[in-house]
Amino acid sequence: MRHPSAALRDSTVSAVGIALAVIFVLFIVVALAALVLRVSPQAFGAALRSQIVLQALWLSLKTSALCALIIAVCGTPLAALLTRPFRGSHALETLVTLPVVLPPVVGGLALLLAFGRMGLLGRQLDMFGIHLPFTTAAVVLAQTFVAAPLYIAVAKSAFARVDPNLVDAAATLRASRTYTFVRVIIPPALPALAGGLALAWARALGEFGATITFAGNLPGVTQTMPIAVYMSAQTDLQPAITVAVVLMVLSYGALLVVRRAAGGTGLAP
Amino acid sequence: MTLQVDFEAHAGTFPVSCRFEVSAGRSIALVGSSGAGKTTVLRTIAGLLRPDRGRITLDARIWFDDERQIFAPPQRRDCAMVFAEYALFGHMSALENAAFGLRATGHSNSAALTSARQALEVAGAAALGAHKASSLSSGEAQRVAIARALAVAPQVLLLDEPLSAIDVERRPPVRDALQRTIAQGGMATVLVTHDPVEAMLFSDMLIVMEAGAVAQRGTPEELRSQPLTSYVAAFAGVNLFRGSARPLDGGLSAVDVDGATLVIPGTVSGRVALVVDPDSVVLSHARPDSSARNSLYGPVTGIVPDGPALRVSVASSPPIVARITRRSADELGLAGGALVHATFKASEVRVH
Repeated sequence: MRHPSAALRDSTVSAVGIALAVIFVLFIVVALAALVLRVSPQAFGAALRSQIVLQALWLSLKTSALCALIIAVCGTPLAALLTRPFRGSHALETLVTLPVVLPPVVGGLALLLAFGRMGLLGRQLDMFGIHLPFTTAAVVLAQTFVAAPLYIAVAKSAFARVDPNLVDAAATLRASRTYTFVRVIIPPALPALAGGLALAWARALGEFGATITFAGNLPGVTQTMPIAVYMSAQTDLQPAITVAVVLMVLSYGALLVVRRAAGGTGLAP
Repeated sequence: MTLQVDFEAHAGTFPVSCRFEVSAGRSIALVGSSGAGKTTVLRTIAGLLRPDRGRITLDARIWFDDERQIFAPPQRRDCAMVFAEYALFGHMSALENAAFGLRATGHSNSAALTSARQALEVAGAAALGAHKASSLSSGEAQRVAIARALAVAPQVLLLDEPLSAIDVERRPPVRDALQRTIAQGGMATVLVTHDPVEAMLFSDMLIVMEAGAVAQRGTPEELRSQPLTSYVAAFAGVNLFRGSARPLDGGLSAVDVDGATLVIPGTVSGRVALVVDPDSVVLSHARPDSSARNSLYGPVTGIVPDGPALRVSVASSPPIVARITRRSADELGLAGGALVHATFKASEVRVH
């Protein structure tokens, strides 16, 4: 027999829960709406044609695409490696995941101290005439450092869900490990991999802290969209808002891809 | 060409050991209840599991030898396996699944597809070629899994419950085609099944496994007349007759087996396998004057204890085993050489 007040308590809890949820949603909606509402169509169009915005947009798309490519090429085998436990695999996985929880500025500083002129490998790189800091390459490295763990985590769990019997079956059919990986393991994981990559790409697109620390703020060279937003917000708000809205739309699109790709797999962020 | 298997392995918590050999074009059946270690034996032969001790060889080729520290990976063993869970590649079509093994080993696409189509035909899955593997029913998937293994024309074929998901009525043609291919292709075949009748229909050499070890090996005849353990007796000790059936009046059919005509329930025609439990066979000196339709006559050739009862082998034509109580054996005064009638009702016959 339910206590008479139980139903009342349930409805109170759910009312409080709904209220809290509504407050939270409003918090996000108001913030994003404030951004969109401040855009005047004329100013938006003008800003979109301004060199500073176009440069930042093009640079961001270029670097984040390259970053996504590097993550896919290097992160996929790493994720596959991590699905089989071996000595030190847990330590390795934790290490690879670390950049996610590290403040991006710390990541940027670490990159600077590793690959900068005075850094750990600076002298060796210098011998080959390679100067990374404050170049577009540095932007890509900073983005990769921060965004790769997101893809690797998703890819690892996608590979872990592939039926081990399929791998065994492929082995008895005399398929090499590489052939099996490409033909048997990757295809069923492909939607999840695409989702993970979209997630990492969105993170790379929004990267700020590591980029500004390691790559600086040179328009056309290292000034990506988030940096352009930050810089122009100090002087003229209209270009900042324009870039911010473009960034928002791109990120929203990326998340839609992630949700669609991860549909039913429980991986949706 | 002969596959020789002799090993001890640890799969999970209990040890599994097995020793047998099987030559080209022949098959051996491993039977036992689930958890007896049958699949472990197949996985060990395939190279998916490394045993602790022993040797696995195919003629001069050594697949495993613990003393010489040799362990060939699955890719280097000329061996294909039909998995109990089919393990089809869900994103590929049935045809692509069947062509996988040849494509993976660098054969031309057209050669791979030709062999794949032939293999699908053999397995009765020719019509499924374009279907995506993930959309197949379990019976269809099992046929495709058989085709995928046959397409690579392996020297050793490992079958893990290969017909379990196929409807009982549809099994005989698949079984026949499989047996023909094994004989023609000279494949040394190891069949694993929990169904002793399936094992007897497939192979004339059975290995009964019990708790990870071989309980007994022999022909169905030997297991039935001289079971070494009560497990073997209960598990594999049934009478099996094969013959061709033709319908009779009154919802019955007659089956011509080797040396006799038996009556079975139902209207059946074509090749059938009949299973008669030894418990339902009655022995008598005089020809029984009962409603039982089936009676065989011959001398007693063996009496072995089976729990509280006795298993009596009668060398009738065809031979049969009866399981009777010690008391009725005493009453009959049974002894070797005594001529008896072995009788069983048509309704006691199970038709496969």
